[in-house]
Amino acid sequence: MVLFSSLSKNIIKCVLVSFFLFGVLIKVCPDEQNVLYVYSYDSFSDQWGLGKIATQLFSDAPIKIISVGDTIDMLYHAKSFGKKDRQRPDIVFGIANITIPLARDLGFLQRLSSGIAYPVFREGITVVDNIMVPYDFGYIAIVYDSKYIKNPPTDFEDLTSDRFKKKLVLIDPRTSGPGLAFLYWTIAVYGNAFTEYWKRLSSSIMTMPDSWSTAYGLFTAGETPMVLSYTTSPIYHQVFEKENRYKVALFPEGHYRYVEYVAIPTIAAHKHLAEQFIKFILSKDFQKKILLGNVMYPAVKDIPLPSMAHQGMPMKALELDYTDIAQHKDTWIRDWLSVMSERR
Amino acid sequence: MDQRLVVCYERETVKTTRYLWLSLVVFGLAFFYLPLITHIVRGLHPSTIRMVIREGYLSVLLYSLFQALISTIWACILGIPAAYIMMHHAFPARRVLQVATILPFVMPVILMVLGVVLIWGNNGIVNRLRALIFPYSHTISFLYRFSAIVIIHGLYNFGIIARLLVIGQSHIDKRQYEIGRLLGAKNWYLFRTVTLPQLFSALLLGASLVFLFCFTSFGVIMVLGGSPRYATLEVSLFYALKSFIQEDLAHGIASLQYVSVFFIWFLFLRKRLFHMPESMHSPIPIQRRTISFFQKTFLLGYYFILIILLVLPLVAIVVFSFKTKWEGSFLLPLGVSLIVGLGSASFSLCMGIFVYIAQLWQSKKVASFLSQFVLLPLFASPLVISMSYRGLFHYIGGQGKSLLLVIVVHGLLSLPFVFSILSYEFRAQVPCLIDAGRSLGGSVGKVFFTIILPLSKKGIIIAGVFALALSLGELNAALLLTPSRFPSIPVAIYRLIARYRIYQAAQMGIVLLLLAAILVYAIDTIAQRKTKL
Repeated sequence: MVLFSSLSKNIIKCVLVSFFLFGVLIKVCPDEQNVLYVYSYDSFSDQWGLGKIATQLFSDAPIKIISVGDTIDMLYHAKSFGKKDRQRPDIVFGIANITIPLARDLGFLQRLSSGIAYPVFREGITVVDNIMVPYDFGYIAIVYDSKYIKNPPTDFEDLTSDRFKKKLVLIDPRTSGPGLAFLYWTIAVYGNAFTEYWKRLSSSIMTMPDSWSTAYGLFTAGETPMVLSYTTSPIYHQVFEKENRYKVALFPEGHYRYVEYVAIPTIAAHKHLAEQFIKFILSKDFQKKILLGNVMYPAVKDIPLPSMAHQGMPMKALELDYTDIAQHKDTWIRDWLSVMSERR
Repeated sequence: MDQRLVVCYERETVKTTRYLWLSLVVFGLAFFYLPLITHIVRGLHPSTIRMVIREGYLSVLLYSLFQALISTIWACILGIPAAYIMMHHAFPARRVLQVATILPFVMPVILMVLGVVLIWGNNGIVNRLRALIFPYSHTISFLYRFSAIVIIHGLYNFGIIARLLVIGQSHIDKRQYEIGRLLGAKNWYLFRTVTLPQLFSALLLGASLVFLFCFTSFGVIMVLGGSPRYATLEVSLFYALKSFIQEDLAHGIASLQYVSVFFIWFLFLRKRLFHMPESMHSPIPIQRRTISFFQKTFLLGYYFILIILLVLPLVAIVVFSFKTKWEGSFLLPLGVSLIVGLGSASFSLCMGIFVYIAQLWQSKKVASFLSQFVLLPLFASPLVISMSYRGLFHYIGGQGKSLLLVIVVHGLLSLPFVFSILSYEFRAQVPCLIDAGRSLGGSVGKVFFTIILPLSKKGIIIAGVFALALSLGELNAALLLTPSRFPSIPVAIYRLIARYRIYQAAQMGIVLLLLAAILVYAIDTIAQRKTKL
């Protein structure tokens, strides 16, 4: 039998102890009773996000917020949990209307109790399948920096003109909710000819990062004068930064409506608490905080809004049918990718 | 296999030990490599191949090859003068240039990208100065285009070319020059007939490695690429995995990349890769020469380009890091990175030593098979390996994100390099000591553990530090597999850059730069020490 030197024995001992310690360290996670696990996208848990407000105001139980990337990331991540996972989601917060077909396909959300009394929502906004409850909405738009752009784009075709060459940051629709919403917006306006429009638009695009956070970060850092965002984005800068230079370019074709929903997964450990949380989200106290907390409009009707909230309200709201999205989404993305991958 | 350690006679106990080691190693390798092999095979299914071709990924492959070629040429343009300077001149900043050549091995590319954006971004320092001095001039903009990708790749990888050329030149027998001069040959003739052919092999090795790194590039393309137009196969794979749209497509892309990398390795690197450890071990020799005016001008010009493109971005990171208050937010990523790094280094060192020991008792064919088998992870990018392990976790239950997974994946990624460094070190031990041990009745294993292993401390430490450095700077796999609550430093930097929290990203970058500097210093210092007997 091979004899080991004392050096080799010590090396092996150290390695075994290290692996044991790694295992202990990785597994350390106390089991928490009656904690509501809320899964959402990244900006939800930012210091000015809705997560902080919810944590402060919701008194029925402590909340633990887990943020995972963008809205599409969040859906897949929330779906991947099993009943044995300690930190499985009780609430999935931030399902976008454009991902409703995906949420339906994944089939991991449960119907809510019939006893929940919903408030009156704004026109065109409803509970979906008695599973997904709307809490806020906004409109996709091009936001520009008036310090660098004196004459903003007036419509979709103007956005493709030479004066905006390499000045626009969009977001990849494969990985981002707002990015996908912009793709659907072009389909709502141009129909099957949307690929031709993207060919004309490509010269205006500076870059297409994979998330809204990156795109907006580029914009606020001054790397680009125009970015895809929401009609309500300038409100944040006016209120918190006292900055009026960021403005919205309103298009006569209309703007794509982006509605966000909250739902409860089938594997939720605390369904009753989760439903209390949904009632809390729909309460007037929380809905009043949405404009400045999430920079979107509250979904519940008759919530008073400051006058500045109306300046970015478009004349026409556009939205594709969910059945069309479910049937054609893959084809649309494939066609879009084919156009954007062309090397000119 | 080292013939000096071949057992001249076999007893039953030695046979048992031999088969035991072999089965342990084969089982270990198969266990860790099986997920990767399974996913690659799945991606080679005819229907998947048809899907990949139909979706247009052959053109992405061609673009990836083209981009890698241009980047390699640019790296050679920067690297050959650096090698010339290091070979022939002693000057105060030579040590700095020497450190710059090892940066690709220890510094994550995301740091380089951050520095370039700070200096050359549309709202970077250069453009702000331009707007101040020439208010009506156009923005200097080369980021978010093909040119940015090529420039960053060249800057990041030129050190590989330079270092390998210098080591290659140091191995040329100087007596050939003396004999040539005695016979009346001029310098140019000697360069053409003696130096160039021998340097060409080193240049080809360096260029092949750079080509491979650029082909599988990820971080640079993600931040500076601009659009799907500039996506390489690695980036396309990332999007396919992240969007979960078509898992089969992701397997197809992964297999396409794996096969491409295998061909590149087979054509250019197969026989040359095991010479790479010498570049980690050998000190860089110089030959002092008097510098002419033309050479001084060339030196200054070259340094100016390096300062503008390489040094300034790194300085910008340091300066920007102090523009906001230092909080303790880097402590958790630092802890995670060190735990993962040390774990993966231990893992790959243990695997490397076990595989080498198993080779000792085997026939030449089996030993050769083992040493090639260890190289399997070399052809897979970090994303491909991560994808296969994440798939395994989904199959057995779980979210496919775990620090243990990251440790295993990083360990596998560094295993080919660690194994080649260890093999070189073990084979280099003084033969007479080994012969003495064997002649005094020591078995193969006893000689290895009591003589070879302690004498190879230098190589083991270099291999371990190299594996640690690789893990510290790795982004692709960490992005996919790290739990969101426990980001490593490169993941934290990437997320901060993604939100354009530049100052906080710069602070995290400083921490990583310091770690990289310590590791660079450690590798260089240990390499220059002579082994004490």
